[in-house]
Amino acid sequence: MYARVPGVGLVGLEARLVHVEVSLANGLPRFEIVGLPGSEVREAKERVRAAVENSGYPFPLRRITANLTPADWRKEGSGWDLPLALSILAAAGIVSAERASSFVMMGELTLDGSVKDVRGVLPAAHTARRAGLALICPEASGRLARTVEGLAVFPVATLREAAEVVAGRFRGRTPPEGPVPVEAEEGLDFADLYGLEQGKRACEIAAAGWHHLLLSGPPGSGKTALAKRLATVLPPLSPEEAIEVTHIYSTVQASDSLTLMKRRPFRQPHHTISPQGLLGGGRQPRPGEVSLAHRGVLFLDEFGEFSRAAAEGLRQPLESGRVVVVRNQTALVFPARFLLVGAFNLCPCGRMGTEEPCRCSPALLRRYYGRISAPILDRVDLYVEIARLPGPPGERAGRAESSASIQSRVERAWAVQRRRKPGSSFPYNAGYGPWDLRHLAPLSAEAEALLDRAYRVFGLSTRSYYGVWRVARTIADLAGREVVERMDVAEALQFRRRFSPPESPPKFIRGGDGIESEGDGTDPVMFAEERRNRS
Amino acid sequence: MGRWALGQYGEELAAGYLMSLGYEIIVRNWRCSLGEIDLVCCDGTTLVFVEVRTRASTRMGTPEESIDGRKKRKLHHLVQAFLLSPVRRKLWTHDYRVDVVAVELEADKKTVRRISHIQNALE
Repeated sequence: MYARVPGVGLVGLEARLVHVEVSLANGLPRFEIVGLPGSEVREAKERVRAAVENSGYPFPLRRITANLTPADWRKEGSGWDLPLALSILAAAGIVSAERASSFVMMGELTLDGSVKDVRGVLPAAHTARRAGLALICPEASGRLARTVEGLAVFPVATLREAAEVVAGRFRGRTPPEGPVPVEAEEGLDFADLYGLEQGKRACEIAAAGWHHLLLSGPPGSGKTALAKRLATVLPPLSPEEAIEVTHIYSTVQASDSLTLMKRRPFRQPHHTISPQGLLGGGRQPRPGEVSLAHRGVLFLDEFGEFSRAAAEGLRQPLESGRVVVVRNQTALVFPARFLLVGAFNLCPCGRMGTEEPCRCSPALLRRYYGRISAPILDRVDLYVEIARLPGPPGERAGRAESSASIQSRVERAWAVQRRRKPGSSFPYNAGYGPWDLRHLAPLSAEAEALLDRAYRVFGLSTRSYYGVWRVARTIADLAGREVVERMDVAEALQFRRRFSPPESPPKFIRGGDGIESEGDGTDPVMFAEERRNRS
Repeated sequence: MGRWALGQYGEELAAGYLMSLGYEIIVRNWRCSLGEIDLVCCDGTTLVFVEVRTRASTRMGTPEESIDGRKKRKLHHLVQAFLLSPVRRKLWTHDYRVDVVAVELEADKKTVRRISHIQNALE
């Protein structure tokens, strides 16, 4: 009259083992669930009753008490139907209670007794393996659950099949080889973009050293086009990273459209997103967009339009590569090692940088630039201003370099960085602190002189001083140089943040690529010094 | 056999069943302004109030299922009324409980398919 079946409850990214106990007692027919069930779990009562009856089993007309133990945290989600149904069947003696207790079960039941897919299959599979139990999961999740090694997986489509698995008469379905899901927008390639050489170069450096990137420019100049193609030059996920990323996705979506991911995620949340949606959280904490972009690209278009709370919340993940969400006295950690790409117009009306005169008032401009906060900007190593092309795109002959050939250079740079910091989970240059820079990014004498001069002349902050150094390291890696040379530092200096709102919003210089000096021998420091002497 | 007669027949059967268990029937169909208690009996020193439910088909659910919250509340009130009534004064015991006896009949409304006795059904 008593049975206990293991189930799992999702808390953040982790699936906790929860036992579903059922006791049948004499009394008027009643079905109660205790153990802090959420509203979806309380509704399970009706689904379970209908599913059991419609699967051809008698629903016990007794006093049924179900308990989710441990009972001290709230259980949410619809994956509790299957363990509830089977522990009732086990308590009623229809299936063996002893055998049922060796399977972790998860799945939602429909009224006719078929098992529906739920989210959180991958964490559940890992928990089951750690507990040394087998897993009964919905058919659609079977393929994903089978990627966990050393775990017996029994995908089922109906409650009856689940009971047969427990009885040992059924080995589980073979999960269907569904269509391979499209993970990124196909057909994007840097070869389709004409001009924008500075922007492309910035994307290459950003990918090669995992440097955060900020693009600005008038509407239609190619900010979004560049950002979308950045994901195409990033090397594919390593097997360990793929498990990590798929794990996160598995907790937010049902797994029928999910396989082990190979491409890096590209997330482009809308700028009206709430802080919880971006960073993770909610009453039942779920990973936010920053975590869904883990090991991939987080593209924030119209960066200045994001709410202040959301944008400021990026500080922690930018710094530490993870988000800590505290809810109900428990702290949950979501990984968030994303590559930030921000894009914004030069002014709210969007006309600055075009032929048309900008109509924004100084006060409006001040407010606009005030929203793009300095602490965030300080953490961004690369800043590029994109200008409209001086001529129509068709004018330039030939095809630009393809993403594949850029990707091969990025891959080489990554290999160099991995060799330099073996065993690190984040070996890329953007993660270098001052100690790493001094030991792993040696500067030539001329390079050091230039960097020190830039510090004085441009009034760099200490953080942006190291930022320039890091970018120079990446540029040297792309070129295959051991030691960082003067030209690397000179190029890196072009990508530093140069606008200081609100007094002087970024200036637009017509023609060219919207940069003040190309890497064609014009020394940026000389340039700045001359300018200062003139004024 | 009509609805009322069916109920009476079921109560007969229930009373017989309880007597076979050694219960002593004290009152049948005890009535007051609040309603009626089908059977009041003694199980040793415990006073037992019994609600009998009779069904000739389970098309509308089993007899046990037909007791809802409203009926439970009503039974509680009836028990209180009984305990305050003059009949009660002749009894010595303070313990009591409420049982439900479910009687299921075949379609001919004569043959008994099953009699279930749920002790302490309202706790």
